[in-house]
Amino acid sequence: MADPIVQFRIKEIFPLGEVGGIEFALTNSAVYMFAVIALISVFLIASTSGRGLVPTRWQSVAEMLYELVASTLRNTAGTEGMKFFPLVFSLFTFVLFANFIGLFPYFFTVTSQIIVTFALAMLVILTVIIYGFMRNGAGFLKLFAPSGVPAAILPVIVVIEILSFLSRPISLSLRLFGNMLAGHIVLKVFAGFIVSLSAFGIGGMLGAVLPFGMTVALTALEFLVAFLQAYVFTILTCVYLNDAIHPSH
Amino acid sequence: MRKLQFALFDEDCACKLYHLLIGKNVSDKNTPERSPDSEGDLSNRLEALDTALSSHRKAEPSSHGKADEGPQNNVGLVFRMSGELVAGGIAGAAVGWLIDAGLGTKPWAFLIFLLLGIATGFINLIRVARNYQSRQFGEDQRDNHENT
Repeated sequence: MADPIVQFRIKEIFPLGEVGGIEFALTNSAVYMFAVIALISVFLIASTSGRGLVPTRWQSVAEMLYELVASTLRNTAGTEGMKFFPLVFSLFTFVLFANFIGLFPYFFTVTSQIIVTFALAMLVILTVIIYGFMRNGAGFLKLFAPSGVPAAILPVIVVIEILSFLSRPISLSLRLFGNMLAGHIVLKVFAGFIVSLSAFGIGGMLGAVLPFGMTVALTALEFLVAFLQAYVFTILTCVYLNDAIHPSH
Repeated sequence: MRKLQFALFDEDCACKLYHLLIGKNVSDKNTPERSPDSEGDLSNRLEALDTALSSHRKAEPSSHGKADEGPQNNVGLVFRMSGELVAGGIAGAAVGWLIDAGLGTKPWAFLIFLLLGIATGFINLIRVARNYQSRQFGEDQRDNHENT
């Protein structure tokens, strides 16, 4: 049976030399990231170049993406949050397209690498911290001390709030990474059952119908998960940005 | 289970926009009043469009804005909750381990912060659930509302 982990292996395509003892190379992961960005750019530029008042099919898809992110951001972080729209929209489209590209057979899933999702999460959290202190100064620390808490238990609450803040990048990155990794492994395992069952002659081939049906169903589920994970990532980004804008609970 | 519907495309808004630009008479209850003589005036029409859009945007949070605050269906909610619980524990363990490494208090900070981290995970879980609940059952729990 095929090893379900092989699909996540990072391969060097060509080395770029060594800087300070660390090897740099163009890997398949980097190539797919570039491919994702190229695909998003081509799609958005081509679909909106018509600028029709009555949108064509592709243009309305692009407008739907815009409307989805814009309404999510506006409703969660208010009109002031719209200044972060470029960041949020880039994150959403990057995660969405990376997830969908990964669903093609033989393709590499960028978002199944925890370092990639963690980098995206840290981008969000560092934006929140830097903008939060820039806009509110020390008032941003009110995020860790909710109003209306008795002084006796305040220290415990502050520690818990700080831990809660620290857990945000972890939960943000772990959720996306875990779902993509698990989904692809399960798909591979069930697809592997088809091959190993059909080696047992005609009876095995008939039996292989079951894992085949499962694979088809799981593929449909993975499409849903690919979209939902991108959407959840976006929503939580908006919620965290809202904390930077309005730090008091 | 609630219908899987995202606010992808607002038909109401699109309809208003279309009619305002075309200049046809619409029997929409939300369309701002326009006197017949300003019908052909482009700047007047644009102004009307502007007010219609801004009033629509203002109306949005009250009409279905609450529903957009979190994942709109239960699957998204479950994904969100599962992450919160695990991440709290990991964050606590990491902080405790770092304090141990810095102060040399080998197992103690790790143990205490692991427990605090797990508690954080549960608190976050409860917050997400409460958020969802207040969205489901109206606005009366608005003062308890917290953004996780």
